[in-house]
Amino acid sequence: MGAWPLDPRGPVAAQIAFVYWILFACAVVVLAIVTGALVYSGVKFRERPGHVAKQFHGHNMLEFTWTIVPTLMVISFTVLSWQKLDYINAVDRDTGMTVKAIGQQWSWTFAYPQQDTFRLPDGSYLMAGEELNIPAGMKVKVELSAKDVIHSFWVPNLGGKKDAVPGHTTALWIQADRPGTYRGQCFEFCGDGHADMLITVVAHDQNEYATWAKTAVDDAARLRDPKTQAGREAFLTGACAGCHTVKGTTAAAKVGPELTHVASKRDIAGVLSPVNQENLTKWVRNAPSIKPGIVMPKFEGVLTDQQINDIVQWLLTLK
Amino acid sequence: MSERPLSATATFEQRLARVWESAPDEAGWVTTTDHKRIGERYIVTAFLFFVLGGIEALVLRAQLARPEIALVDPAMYDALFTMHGTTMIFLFATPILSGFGNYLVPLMIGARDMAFPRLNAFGFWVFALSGVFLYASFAASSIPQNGWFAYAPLAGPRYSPETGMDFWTLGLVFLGISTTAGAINFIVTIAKLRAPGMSIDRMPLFVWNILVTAIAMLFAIPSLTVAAALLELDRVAGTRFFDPAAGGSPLLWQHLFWIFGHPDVYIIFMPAVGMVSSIVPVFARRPIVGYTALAVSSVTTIVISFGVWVHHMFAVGIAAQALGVFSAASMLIAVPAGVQVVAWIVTIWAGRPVWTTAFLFAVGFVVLFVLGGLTGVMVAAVPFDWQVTDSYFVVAHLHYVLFGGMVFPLFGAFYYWFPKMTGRLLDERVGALNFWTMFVGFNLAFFPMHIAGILGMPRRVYTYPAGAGLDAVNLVSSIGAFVVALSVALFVANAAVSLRRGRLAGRDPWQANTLEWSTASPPEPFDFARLPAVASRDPLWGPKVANAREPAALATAWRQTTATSALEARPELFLRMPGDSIWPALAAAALLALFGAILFRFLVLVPFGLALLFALVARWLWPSPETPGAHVGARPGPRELPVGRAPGWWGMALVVATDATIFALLLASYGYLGFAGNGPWPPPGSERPQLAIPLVGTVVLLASSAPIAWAEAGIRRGDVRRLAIGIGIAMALSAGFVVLQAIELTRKAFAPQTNAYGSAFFTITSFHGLHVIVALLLGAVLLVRAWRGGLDRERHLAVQNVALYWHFVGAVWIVILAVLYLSPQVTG
Repeated sequence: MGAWPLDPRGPVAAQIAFVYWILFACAVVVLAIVTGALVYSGVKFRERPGHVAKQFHGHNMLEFTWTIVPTLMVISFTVLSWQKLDYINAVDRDTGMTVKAIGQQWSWTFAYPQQDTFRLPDGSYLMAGEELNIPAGMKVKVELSAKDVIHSFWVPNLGGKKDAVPGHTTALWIQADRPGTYRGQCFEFCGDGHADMLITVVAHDQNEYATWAKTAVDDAARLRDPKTQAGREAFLTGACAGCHTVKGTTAAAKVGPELTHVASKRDIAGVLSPVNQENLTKWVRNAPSIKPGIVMPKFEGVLTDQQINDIVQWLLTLK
Repeated sequence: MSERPLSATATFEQRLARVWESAPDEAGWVTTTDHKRIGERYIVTAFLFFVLGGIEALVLRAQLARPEIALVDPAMYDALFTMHGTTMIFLFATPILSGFGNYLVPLMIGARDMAFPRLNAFGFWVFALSGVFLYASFAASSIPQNGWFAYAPLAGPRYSPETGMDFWTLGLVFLGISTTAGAINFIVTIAKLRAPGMSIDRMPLFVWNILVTAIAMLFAIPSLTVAAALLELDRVAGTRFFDPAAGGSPLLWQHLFWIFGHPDVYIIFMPAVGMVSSIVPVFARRPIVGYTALAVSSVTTIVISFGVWVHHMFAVGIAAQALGVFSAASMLIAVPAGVQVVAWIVTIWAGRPVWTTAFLFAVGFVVLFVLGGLTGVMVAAVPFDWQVTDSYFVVAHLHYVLFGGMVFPLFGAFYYWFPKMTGRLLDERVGALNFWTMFVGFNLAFFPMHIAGILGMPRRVYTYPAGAGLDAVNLVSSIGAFVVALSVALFVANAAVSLRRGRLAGRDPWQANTLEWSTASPPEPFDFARLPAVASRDPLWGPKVANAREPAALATAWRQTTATSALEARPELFLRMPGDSIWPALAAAALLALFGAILFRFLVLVPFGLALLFALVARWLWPSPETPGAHVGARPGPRELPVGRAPGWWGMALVVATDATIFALLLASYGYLGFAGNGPWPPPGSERPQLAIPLVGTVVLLASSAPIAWAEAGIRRGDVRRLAIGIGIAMALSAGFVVLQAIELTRKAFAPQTNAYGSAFFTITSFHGLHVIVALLLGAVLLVRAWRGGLDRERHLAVQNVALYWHFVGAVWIVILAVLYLSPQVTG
C-alpha cells in the first residue's frame, strides 16, 4: 500500500490528500520564489568595485503588495480547510455502523454494536482487541474513550485522527473503499509501550462481513464458555493479559507469544510437548525452571493452585 | 567596587572603571552584576546545555538509525527525548537569547547596565541552579519520561509515581522565576534606560524584538508556572486537578501548557529574528528596508501567538467553530512572518551584500524558516493536521522553525558579535565550512522526517517496524544529525582557537550601524565613558554621535546611568545603580534548597525555606549606606530634570502584572473545571459557600488599603510618624483578614483532596492568603526601615511599591470573592 497522499483508501484520506496536494504545490512555489530571489539578489548585487547600494527607506506599493499576497493565500487555505472540516467532522451523517474503541496502556479494545449479529449466547456483545473488523464501503463511526491516559487513533490510509481522552468521549469516522488490511497505531505518547500500541483495521467485502461476524461470535462464545469462565477471568484480569494476545478477547499484548490457538500447538515454547493439562500446569507454575532466562516469571506462589488450574482449563479450550 | 588606590591624576576613564569594576578575586566572581559578564555566563552555560541536549538527540538518532534495534530501552528512550526537548527549549534556547540580550541591550541603547543589575545576577544564578536541579534527575536515576509537554494524566501521580516528574515540574517552576525576572529587567531597561534621543522609532530592531519577547514572557510564563504547580500539587498534596475520576480534566493541562507553549515558540524565535535584522543591513551595506513593517510584524506576531494555542489540540475533540477560528488565527501568523522575509530579501536586493559567515547564516535562516513556515501553514489547516499531528511531519516542521529559525541566527550572531565580546574575530574560512556542514547536515537530518511523518511514523516511538518504508528515511536523518554535530564541533574548535589567536577586531570590524560598535572590544566595565545621545536609527552611519549631558562628578562617585522617558527618550533622572552583591546568589541558593525540600518531600521545611528566601531578598534590597564623601553637592538628579516614575516602580508594576496573570489563570482553571465537568458546580457534597465570614473579611481587607494610602501620602511630605501609624493600622487589619480566612477554610466540609472543586477552591484562597502574609512582612520591613531612619521625603520608593502591592492584593480578592463565593449563589 502506498503512502496516503498517493494512495488514499477511504473518503476522509482522499479529501485530506486533496487539501495536501494544493498546500504542497503552493508551498513549493513560494519556497522556489523566495530562495530564488535570495540567491539571485545575494549573488547579482554582491559587493564589488563600483557597485553602490541603493539607499531608500520605504516603498508603499511594495509594502502593500507583500502584505496583501500572503493574506489572500492564507484566506484561501482557511476557506478550503473549513469546507473539508465540515465533511470530516460529520461523524453521524449517513453512518452505517458505530464501534467503540477503548484505549488503555498499551492496546486497543473494540466493542461492536449491540445488534443481533454481534450477540453472544451469554447476552453480551462482541468485544475484541487486536483487530477492528469493518465492512468495506460503509461509513463507520468510531467512538473513542480511554481507560487510563490519553491515546490517539490513526490509520493513515483511511484518514483522520482523534485523541481518546479519559473522562470524555470523542469520535471520528472511517471508511475503507475496498476490502483489505490497514495498519495504524496510537499517536499520542502514552508511556513506555507507546510504540507497540498498534491498530489493524480489516475491511471485509460487505457480503462476507456477516460470515466474519458469525465466526468471530462463535470464537468469542467458545472463549466465554461458562464452564471455563473462572480461568478466562483470571487470565484477562491478571498478569497473563499483560504479555499475551488471545484473539477475540481483550488480551492483546505483544511481549510474549500469541496464545489464540495454544491448545492446537505441538509444543510449549519449543521445550515441552505435548500441550496438555500436565505440561501447561508445570509451565505456568515455573517456566524459568524449564527454560532458563525466559521473560515469563514463575507463578507458583503468585497465583493459587486453583487459579492456575482454572487458567490451564481455559487455555485447553483455545484450539 | 575595587579597592585599587587611585592617583590624584587619574583620568576620567580610570575613575569610572574604579566604580564599575568588580573585585578581581573569587568573591567578585560571585557578586558581580556586570551585565556583560552575566550575559557571557548565560551564553556559555546555555551552550553547555545545547551540547547536552545535542548528545541526547544523537543517542535518539542512533537508536532510530535502524529498525527494531535496542541501543537504549523504551524507558531510557522516553527519558532522553523528554530531556532533549526540555533542555533545548528551556535550558538552551531561551537562556542563550537572554544572554545575548543581557550583553547587547545596554550597549545598543547606550546605557551602562541593565535597570536592575542585582536582579540580573539573581536571574542567572536561578537559571544555572534550575538546570543543575533538572539534570540531578540523572544522578538520582529517575529521569522525567513524559515528554517536554508532560500530558496529564500520564504525568500525574497515578501513572508516573517516580520522582522523575517532580524534577521536571519543580525545575520548570524554579526556572520560570529566572525567566520572569529577566523579562521584567529587559522591559524596564529598554523602556527607561535608552540614550537620550533614541525614541522608540529609532531603537535597533534587535532591541525591539527583545522588548516584545520580554512582554510575551511576562504573560506566558505564568501559564506554565500554574500548569506545573497544579500538577505538582496533584503529585505532592493529592489534589485532583487533572484526575477525571474526581472532576479534574486532562484537557485543562493541555490548555494551560499550550497557552504558554505557543507564545514560547515566538519567545524563542523573536530575538533570533532580531539578530537577523541586525546582521542583514550591516552586510547588505544599507539601512534595513521596512523598519516600521518589521517592528509592527514583531508586535503582531506576538499578539496573534497568544490566540493560537488550540492548534496543538486539534485532535482532542474540540467544537468545530473553535477549530475554525483557531485554524484561521494560526494561518494569519504567516502574514507578519511573510512581511519580515520580504523585508530582508528587499534589503539584500537593494544593497551590495558581503558574504561573511554571519551573513551566510542569516540567509540560510531565511530559507529554512520559510520552509518551516510553509509546513506551519499546512498543519494549521485542520484536516491536514488531523492527518499528520503527532507524526514525524511535525517533528520536521518544528525543527525547521526552531533549529532553522533560532539556531542558524544564533550561529550568525556568534560570528557577528564574538569580536565585540572577546576582541578577536572568529576564523571566516572555518566559518564558511561551519555554515555549509550545518546547512547540509540539518537538511539531511530533518527533511526526510516530513516523509517519515507522511508515511505514518509517530513521534516519540523508540523504534519502528522494518520494511514499512521507514528504514531509508530514518538512516538518512541519523547521518544528518551526526553531520550537524560535526559542524557544532567545528564551531567550538574555531572559538577555542580564535579566542587566543584570532585576528584583532578593533572597535568596529564590520563597519556596523549600532552603538555597541562604538565601544572598545571587549567593552570597558562602564561600557561608555561618555553616554551617547542619538539622533538617528543607524547612529554609527549618521553624523558623529554626540555626548549626553551628565554631571561628571556623580558619574565617578558611584555607578550611574541616565533614565529617559519611555517613548521619546527625553532625559528624566540620573540613576544611581546598586553595586555588586552576594545576596542574589544566596537567594538563588535558598530557592534551590526550597525546591529540593519539596522534591524530597521534606514539606515541613517549606515554610522555613520561604522565610529564609524572604529574609535574603529583603537584605539584598536593603539600601546600602551612602558612601562617605561620595556626595557631590545635592543628591543626584531628581530636581535637575523633569521627574518620571523611577525604574523601581515600573519593576514592581510588572511584578504585579505577571502575578495578576497567575491569578487570572487560576480563576480561569476553576471556571474551566466547572464548565467542562458534567455535573453541577460546586459538585454535590460541597455545600454552597457561606458568605458571612468572607464578607466581613472583605471589608477588613479592603479597609486596610486606606491607611496605606494615607501613610504613603505622609512620607511624601516627610512625615515618618504618619507612615508608621498608617502601616501599623493596615497590618492589623490585614492580620484580621488572615485570621478570618483561616477560620473560614478550616470549617469547610470538603478538602483539597476531595475533588477538583475542592482543589481549586483551596489553592486559590491559599495562594491569595500567602500574598496577604507577604504584604504583612513587607509592612514589617517598612516599619523597621522607618525606625532606622531609612525613609524620608526623598527616599520612599519602597513605600510606593509596597502600597502598589497592597492595593493589588485587595483588588484581586474582590475578583476571587466574585468567582468563588458569589457566582455559586447564582448558578449553584
